[in-house]
Amino acid sequence: MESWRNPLILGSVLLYLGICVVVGLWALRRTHSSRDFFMAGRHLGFLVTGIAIFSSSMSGFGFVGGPGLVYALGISSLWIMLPISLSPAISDFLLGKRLRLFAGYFDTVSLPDAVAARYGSETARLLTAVAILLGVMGYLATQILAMATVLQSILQRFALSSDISLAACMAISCSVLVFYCVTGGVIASVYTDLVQGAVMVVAGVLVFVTAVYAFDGGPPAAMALMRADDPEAIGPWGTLGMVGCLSWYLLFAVGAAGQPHLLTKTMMIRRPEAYRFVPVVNIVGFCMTALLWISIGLAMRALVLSGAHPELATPDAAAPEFLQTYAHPLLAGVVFAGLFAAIMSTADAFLNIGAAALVHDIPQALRGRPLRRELLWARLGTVALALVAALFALYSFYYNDRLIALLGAFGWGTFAAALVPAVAIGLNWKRATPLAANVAIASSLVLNFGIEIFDLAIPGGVHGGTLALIVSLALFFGISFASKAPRIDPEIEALMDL
Amino acid sequence: MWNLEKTLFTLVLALGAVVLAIALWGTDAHPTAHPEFATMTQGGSGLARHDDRTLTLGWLFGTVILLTFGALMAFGARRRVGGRDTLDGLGRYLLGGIAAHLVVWTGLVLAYRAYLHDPSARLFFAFPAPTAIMLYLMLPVPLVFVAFFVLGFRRWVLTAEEQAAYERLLAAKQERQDAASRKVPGG
Repeated sequence: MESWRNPLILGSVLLYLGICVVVGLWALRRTHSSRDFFMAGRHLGFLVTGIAIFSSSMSGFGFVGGPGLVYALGISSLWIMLPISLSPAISDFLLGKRLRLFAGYFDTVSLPDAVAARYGSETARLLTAVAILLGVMGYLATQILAMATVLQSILQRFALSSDISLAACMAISCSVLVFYCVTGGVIASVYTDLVQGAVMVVAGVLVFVTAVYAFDGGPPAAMALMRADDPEAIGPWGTLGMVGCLSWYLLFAVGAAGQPHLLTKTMMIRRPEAYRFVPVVNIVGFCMTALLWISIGLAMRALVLSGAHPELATPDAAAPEFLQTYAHPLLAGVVFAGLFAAIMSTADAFLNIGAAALVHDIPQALRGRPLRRELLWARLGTVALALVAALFALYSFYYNDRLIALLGAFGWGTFAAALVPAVAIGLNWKRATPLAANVAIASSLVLNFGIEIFDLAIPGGVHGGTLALIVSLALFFGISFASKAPRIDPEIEALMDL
Repeated sequence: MWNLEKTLFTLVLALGAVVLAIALWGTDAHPTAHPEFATMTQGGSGLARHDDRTLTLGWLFGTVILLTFGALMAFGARRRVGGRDTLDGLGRYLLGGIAAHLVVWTGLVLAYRAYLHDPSARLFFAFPAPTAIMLYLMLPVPLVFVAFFVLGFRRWVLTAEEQAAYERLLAAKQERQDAASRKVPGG
């Protein structure tokens, strides 16, 4: 069986990519307008919506970066995962109903559409779209690079493709991603999410079982060894420390209410009342997938500390090395497909909202009207965005790896600081002003970018994104309270009273 | 009912104040390089990096964070009835949930304080006591808020009356649009 390991891994990945292509072709026949392309015609049920949300939130980071963080920092990284039992409640009490009602009433196709409708401000739409576009570039480039790296590591094990370049692997994996995103838009995205979510859940559970038995003596022996090496590493804060962990907890629990790739999906559900069960699907799926995150990280840390496994080249090698060494070949195949699924499900969500920002929101904000033949532009925009992100990823990989890190800063933290005040609070508070929303968004861009450019470490170990979130919330409330109460459109007022 | 906007604003300012206090008076707890394995980090001496003052400030930070979570959920769930904001009974449940969360949180900090002095104490389900509290209590306790959302959806999130009102708004908008298109020649 062991001799079949590499063919099984490649076969699983090819099968998975083939399914994505088929879903793309299927979705092509259901995509007739830009509303279908960006909002799935607002026809999704709760199960598809819930799975699409959890699989988009568990990105390649969860499958590669997550175990790597546990390996490097001990328990600390669990504070990123811990909010999963809380963040859906915060987001959904704030926005689960409100955003869907706004989206249905104004027939919005993007989050900036809803922001523009709420504040009656094209500047707010433009700033939201720019924040999304910057974040999308960073996230997308990272995901594309991860996809190419994983594919290269698989193909290099075959004599025929042993010297395949990263660029060639990027072209192959991006072609599949772009194919189903261009043909089927978000319909293809959410239905591939369904497949991707299922693969990720199976992978998470099976890997957890494998990891439990990977270390002689099981988890108690592994823990005892890690405690002997460094009691803090398996204490509740890991090696990062209490304040750093708490700042992650705040950022990831509240910040979920500002993630455009997740919020946009809440606008796609067919009936507002069906949203009721979405958080349950989201939490169950995420928790089962997160088993992989914790178990591989802890198992690899114990295996390396005990000398049973050589030291890793980088922390991010924890998951691939574990799968190559300790997982059954069949399981390794499923998990590598799961890894692709995790990366692609996030990448397609970002491609979709990025294309919406590019061809719908920015033209609307600057010209005051949408583009003609928006569906065609949406498809072209998706290709252009993927191409730019891929080139950017390649340039960053070969010439300047700081570029991706810089745009990566426009990730979770920037979205949280920019959009939690303007969207999560603003859609629930009539007193909120357009000026406050614009300042909150702008401040989050400046602060997150500034912290990353100048490589600032905040004393005490507070995360930069958490600081930006606190500052933007304070500015948002402060400016709104200090301003004259805004006059609100009666339609908006009626919606906010519901 | 309390003015939730002002409560939230106060909590956000309190978060800022605690972060400032930590920056001024807390100890720096960044990870240090592992002496043997370059790809791993260590926490080092827990007693040195989490002295009583840092632990107290950390507890305060966590407490304000949990109160902010509760205020945000209440802020999203409140509705306007007779010119006043109300939570229609949800407030009691949210308060109970946050209180339970605070008890677990405080227990975690106290257990960690004991762990600092005796790291070799027995493991609970494979983890030291404070880590076990975090994983087996701090993780599941907030699920009660999700339960409130799911089970109380028709009472606290979207009532049948609100849904009917929304459908009336949609119908009225459609009627206006139809009337406007009829006025346009060829519309």
